[in-house]
Amino acid sequence: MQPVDERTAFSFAGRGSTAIIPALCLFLFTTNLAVSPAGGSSVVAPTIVLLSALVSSIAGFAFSPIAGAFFSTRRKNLCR
Amino acid sequence: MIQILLVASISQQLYCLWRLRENIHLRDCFPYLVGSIATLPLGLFLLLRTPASTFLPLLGLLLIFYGAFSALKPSLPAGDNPVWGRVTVGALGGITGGIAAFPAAFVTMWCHIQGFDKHRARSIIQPFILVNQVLSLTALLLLKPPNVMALGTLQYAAPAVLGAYLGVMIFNRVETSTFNRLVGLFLIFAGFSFIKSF
Repeated sequence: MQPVDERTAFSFAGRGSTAIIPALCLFLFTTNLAVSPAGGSSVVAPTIVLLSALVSSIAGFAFSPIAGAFFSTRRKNLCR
Repeated sequence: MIQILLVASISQQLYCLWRLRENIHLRDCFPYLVGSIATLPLGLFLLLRTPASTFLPLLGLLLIFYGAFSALKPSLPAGDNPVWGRVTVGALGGITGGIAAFPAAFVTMWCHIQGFDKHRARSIIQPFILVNQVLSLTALLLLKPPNVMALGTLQYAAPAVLGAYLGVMIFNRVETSTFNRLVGLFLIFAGFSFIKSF
């Protein structure tokens, strides 16, 4: 029974630290969106990065080709 | 844009690797890395010396066909997983990693054909991508030193890590067959993006 307890304790400790980093990133991301002009590249580019990271993290793919495809479809916005 | 991709990609990969660290065993990944390290210089040579239009549409077509197969037949019986096969798909990944910054396509297909569950597949694919990206970037920085990186690009680490957090959360909640279907759909998307860019 002892190993189960240790594993639970480890997982719980790990979960606390993993929640802090995304919470901090969420704060930075939303702050950046709040202070940026709507529709500008400073809004579009971080949103594309977020979506691309989401997609590539589900499948375990490389980030760059997915983000590159998204960026190429929104090139006009980014050139503003 | 390259600097954004660089910062975001490395942030996302490092976060995923850290989150999945308990499942990752570098020894399993070793044969794939041997193959990719052997052919990565060839991939980078093709990137720098030949027009990308020669290869990428073909790679795009392959990804679409395989993605459709993976989406339609997500569960396969366990294969023999021979060493020569692992080294070969790693070698193909080294070439596609050099040309298109997409090293994982063939390794992903191999893991599916061998009937690996999603955790085993991911434990191979995730470090494989990171090692290949770091080696590619190092080689490219040495061959073509870029301008000084703007500190402002570091802001893209936050949405990259946030996206990775949400992505890993979804990964942990889906079944292996659903995971393979999703991978198939993403391969189709990646295939079309390669073809559309020409």
